Amino acid sequence: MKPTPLRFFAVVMRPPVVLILSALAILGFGAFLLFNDPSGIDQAFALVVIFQMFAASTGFRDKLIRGHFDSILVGGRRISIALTHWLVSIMPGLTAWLALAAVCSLAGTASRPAALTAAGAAVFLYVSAVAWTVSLPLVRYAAGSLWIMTLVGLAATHRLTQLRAALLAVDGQWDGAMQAVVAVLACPLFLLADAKVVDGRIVGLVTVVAIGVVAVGVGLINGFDAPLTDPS
Amino acid sequence: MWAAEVVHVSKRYGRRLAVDDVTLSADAGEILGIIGPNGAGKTTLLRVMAGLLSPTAGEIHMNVADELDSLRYFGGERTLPPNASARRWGRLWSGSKRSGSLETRGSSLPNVRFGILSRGTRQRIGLESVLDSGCPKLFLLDEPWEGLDPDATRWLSDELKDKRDSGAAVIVSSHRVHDLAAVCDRCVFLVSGRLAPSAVTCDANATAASRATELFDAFDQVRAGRHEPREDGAHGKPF
Repeated sequence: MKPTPLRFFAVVMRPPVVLILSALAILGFGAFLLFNDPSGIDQAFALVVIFQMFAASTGFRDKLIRGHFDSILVGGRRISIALTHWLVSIMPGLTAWLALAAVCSLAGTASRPAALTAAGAAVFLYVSAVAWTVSLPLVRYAAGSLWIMTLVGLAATHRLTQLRAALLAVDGQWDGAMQAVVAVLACPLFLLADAKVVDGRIVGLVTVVAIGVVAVGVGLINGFDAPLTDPS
Repeated sequence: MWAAEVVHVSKRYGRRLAVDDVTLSADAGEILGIIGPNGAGKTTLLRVMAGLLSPTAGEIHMNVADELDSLRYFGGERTLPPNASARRWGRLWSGSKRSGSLETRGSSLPNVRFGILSRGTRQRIGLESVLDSGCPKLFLLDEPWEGLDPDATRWLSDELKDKRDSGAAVIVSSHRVHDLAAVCDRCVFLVSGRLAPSAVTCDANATAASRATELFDAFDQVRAGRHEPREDGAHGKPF
């Protein structure tokens, strides 16, 4: 029988060793924080977010034009294949996130980490969506690299400070909320660091954007149409 | 009854026309060979038929019950993911109803990445995964003999004949005329993206050598342009 997309991608998209080691290092750091500074556990979740920027950036087109996905794309429904590809791509980061959450639960932290709120879930979903979609026409890790370069550029021009100020100044007005959303979209880590000032509108809008970005990614995979390229 | 039909299909990459108004069909229980020089458009045509590329113009019809599981395509060992383990790949496709195939070979497949296996080994594993899984009704194979040693070449030819005898349609592209002559019931010629108007229906009673000679002669005439003009896109006409 032809394998299912999930089985297929699980075999051909196994995470590189460097990613597994990185995830283990973050989990170790999280455990260390829980025993020494439980209030700082969100730092470990922030590292998982950065990790996910790279881990979910798996690329698609470069493998497509080499024919690596031929077996599953032949006669297959590309929308379900695309969604499965997204699921497998976000799995390393999701596993790390859930493992860290499980460690927090076992340790019984006094207050719930921001990462384990709706805001945290929105951040994780958004980063997973953007890293995956941006990398689709590029190569593995491309989205993570671009995102880090963007953040460095924003920091170097002091725009990051301005964006965070916009988030902290959020009020009941929609103008302020939209500016806060822009700040979070540029630097999702704000949503973890400043979870207390964030209201449901921002979390909702970020979630909607994340779902939209995944839909764009599915559309990209559905529309890819490129000749086979010889790797040599 | 045809299993696959291509009707006036063209495929353009930017300004380059890779496949130009091709019309052909393959019947159930038939091995159809597509012969052409490098760059003729054979790979593009097969990938369009497999649904991996969208045709710029024309239509593809498949007369198979379940297109999801009735169609198999193999584009050659270069399309196998180099970082995937050969053993895991074998297990992925095992579930075969046949014995002596990947299911039993799975455990004997090396637990190493495809990238470090020889070209011939990759080609055979890739072909086995396609040929031995389930009961497909249509096979599309692109240059399947490339890299195979004599034993594997004989194995592949026997497998293709088995598939034909079990009622499947096999469309195979190659520029290895001798290998095509050994298995094909009919051959068509693709040159510069265009299908030559004449096809060669191979005489089942002729020897492989004489069939190959006939194909070489026909191919030479096609390349020299000494063929009758196509009137209606008809195919399957004895050369």
